[in-house]
Amino acid sequence: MENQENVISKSEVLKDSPIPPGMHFGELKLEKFYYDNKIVRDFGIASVVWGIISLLVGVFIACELYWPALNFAPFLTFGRLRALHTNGAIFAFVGNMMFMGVYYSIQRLCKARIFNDTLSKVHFWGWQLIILSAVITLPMGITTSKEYAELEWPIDILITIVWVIFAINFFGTIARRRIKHLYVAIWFYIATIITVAVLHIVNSAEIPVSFIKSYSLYAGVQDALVQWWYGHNAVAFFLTTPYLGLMYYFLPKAANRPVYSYRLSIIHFWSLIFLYIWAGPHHLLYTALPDWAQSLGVAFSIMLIAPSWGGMINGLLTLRGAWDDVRTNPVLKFMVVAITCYGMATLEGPMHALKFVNALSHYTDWIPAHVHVGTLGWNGFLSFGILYWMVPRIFGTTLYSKKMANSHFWIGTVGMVFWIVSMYISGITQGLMLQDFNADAQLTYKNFLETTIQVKPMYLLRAIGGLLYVTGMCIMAYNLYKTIRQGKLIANEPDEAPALIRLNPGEKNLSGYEKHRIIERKPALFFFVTMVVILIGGFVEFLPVFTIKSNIPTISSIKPYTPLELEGRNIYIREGCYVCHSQMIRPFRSEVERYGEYSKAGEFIYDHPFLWGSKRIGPDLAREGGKRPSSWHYDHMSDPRRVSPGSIMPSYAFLTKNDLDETDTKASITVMRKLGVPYPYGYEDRALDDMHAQADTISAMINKDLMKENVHVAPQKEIVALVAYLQRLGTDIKAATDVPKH
Amino acid sequence: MFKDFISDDIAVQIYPIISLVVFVLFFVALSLRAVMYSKKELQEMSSIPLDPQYTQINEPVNSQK
Ligand code: HEC
Repeated sequence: MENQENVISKSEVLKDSPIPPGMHFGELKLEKFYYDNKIVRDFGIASVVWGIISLLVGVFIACELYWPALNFAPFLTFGRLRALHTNGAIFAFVGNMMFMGVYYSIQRLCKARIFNDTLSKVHFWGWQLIILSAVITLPMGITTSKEYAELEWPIDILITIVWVIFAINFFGTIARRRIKHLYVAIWFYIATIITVAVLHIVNSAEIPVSFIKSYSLYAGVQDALVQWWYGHNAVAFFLTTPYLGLMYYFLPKAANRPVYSYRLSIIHFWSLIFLYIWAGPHHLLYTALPDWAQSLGVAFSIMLIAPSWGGMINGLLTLRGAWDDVRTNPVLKFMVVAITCYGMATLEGPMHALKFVNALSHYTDWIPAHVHVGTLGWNGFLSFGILYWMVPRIFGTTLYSKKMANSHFWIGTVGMVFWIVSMYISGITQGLMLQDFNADAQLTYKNFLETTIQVKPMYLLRAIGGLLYVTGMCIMAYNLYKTIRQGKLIANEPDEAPALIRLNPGEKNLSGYEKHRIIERKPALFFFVTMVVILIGGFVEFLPVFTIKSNIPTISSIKPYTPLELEGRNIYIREGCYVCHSQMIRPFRSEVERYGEYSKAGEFIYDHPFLWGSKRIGPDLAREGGKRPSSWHYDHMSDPRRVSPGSIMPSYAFLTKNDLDETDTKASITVMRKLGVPYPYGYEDRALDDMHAQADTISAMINKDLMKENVHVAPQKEIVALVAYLQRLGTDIKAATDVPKH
Repeated sequence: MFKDFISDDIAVQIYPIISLVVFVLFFVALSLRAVMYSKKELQEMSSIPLDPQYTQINEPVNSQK
């Protein structure tokens, strides 16, 4: 590659410079130090390995939607594995890649070795431990149900600790830097570190019931708002800002020219972090979230186009005059596609935030299509570009095979197109079918299943697309492995730079203009300003919903769940039913006709956590209670395809065999009361009796209905609790006399 | 849709307006700030990743890049 000499030749460069190495540099002495490439390599390997695993899980669950028989064991069901795929892709693949890129670039941008090698190691192994615990707990159904924050509280604490270690290592390096100015990439890293910490702590506020179970501190509308403030900003500050930092570092490196406009990058940074924080409510349009919060989310989402596109244009224009290289250099090819995908995703996102588009696109496959432009295109391709550029450099060699990298590029691109186009088609088709009325003003497709069957072939195409994409990654893994084998790790890469002069307080800067750079030069001040900027948005969103009572009008007939229903709800959470079923009916004629009365904010005040869902692979269940006999549910859960031929819902026959675990029932009631659910004092002592009585009634009903099928379900089976919960859903409001309009 | 029950809550109606004003002010200040950089500074800062020789140290000693 063209700028190979950048790798090891610092001392060579110094030889040619007017100041000989080791000599005084003006009045400054050159200091010698070594970059730690070992930690960079470790994170890189972890990222590739976990990335391939996570994406294979993705391909598997995509196949499950086409061949539901693949859900043959509880720990392999779609509802449980989906979280493993998303967490794996975000925290294991992108997370490790981000750490790799940050550790590589921060050392060079600061001209200093990473602060502390031991902390680096603890960071690395701590993060892998978190991922490993996700791999174990999520398939077991241990989950909080909050998207991208599914891990239970002990792991949440571990995440916090490891993140703080990362922060110490990062800021420690900055403190030791030999370059005064913090380059723009570092700003993006700082924003990432602060914001992810804030998001994680606020959204993970929960009260433990046991070591593996907790309930969210927030309920209903508030929980939804916090969750999507988190969810949206996890995309923003875990998948976007660190990668923008990487773009601003690795793109100029790979193209061997500075970024097109540094001015633009400054505006890009500040407006992006300012605007992103406000946009979360666009995940909750037409829901029971107050209207003003929705409008705020929409307005800020639209404004986000400006900085995002500023960033994209800045990236692409950096390559002006280098387009010939782009054609031949796989590194730049990957990067160009990545930046283009960033632009596409950030244009499409605000479009989805427009209410009339959202009305169609929300809950459909259009959303995963949008997400995967971002993850496969932006995160994936930028990562691949960086790896192809960096790995040969830290191993002091050249890439094993450029041809293979080119094949990877094409296979990856084709796979991505398959994935995305099939989901666009599926999402728009299903969205239109679900809202279609015929000439008699009746729903054209009354049965949800008809729409599922229509789009099923697209699920197969998606799986093929995913498989192609992973194949590309395996080719890359092989190529990089061969590269590593032919080189040798430069574990400690030498460099030299003069020490930074620290000005004493009161001492004047040498040149006047440097005063302007005060913020960028003072990490502590920078930290503070960034924190204020991201907190403003959060406060404006949250304060009203949390403090003004009238934002959640109460409905007097809404009662807490019975102990059996609460246990059923726990099973619903454990099995991840919410990844396929929403519980939020929007106020559209098509939805009210199909599912029933639209959802009101006051219905969810006892829902710790909320279970509105974000995707309808199956029908909404907000008003499922009383719609069907309990025996129907029994049959359907045991074998969905017997009751609904062609259904893609997993079979939950194991629920008819498992006994309900009653160990935590009492504790659950106590914790719920602590959270403000009005169970009378001492009720936990009667809870089990009530639970058994209700279970007896329901199982007797099922057994009576299914006598001729020779079904006999014992009251202590899990299915009974689940049916109790399903039969309760959305029924309270029917008894209400004071139903508000919202 | 939800206006009915919050319309009498002036505090709430004012939130979106406050936030827009805050952002506009922020953005204007930011743009001014970005315009104020000199060409030399911008060049110097944008070349940090490219490893020119210590131009970014306290004094721009060697700013041929
Ligand atoms: C892979 C996605 C998926 C998962 C996971 C899933 N379902 Fe379903 N579900 C569907 C689909 C698709 C349908 C519509 C076809 C049918 O009736 O089976 C459906 C239908 C239903 C219905 C019937 C609704 C009606 O009245 O027509 C109920 C009830 C239901 N699911 C409950 C559950 C519960 C409880 C869980 C968790 C234990 C669950 N589902 C998990 C996809 C899923």
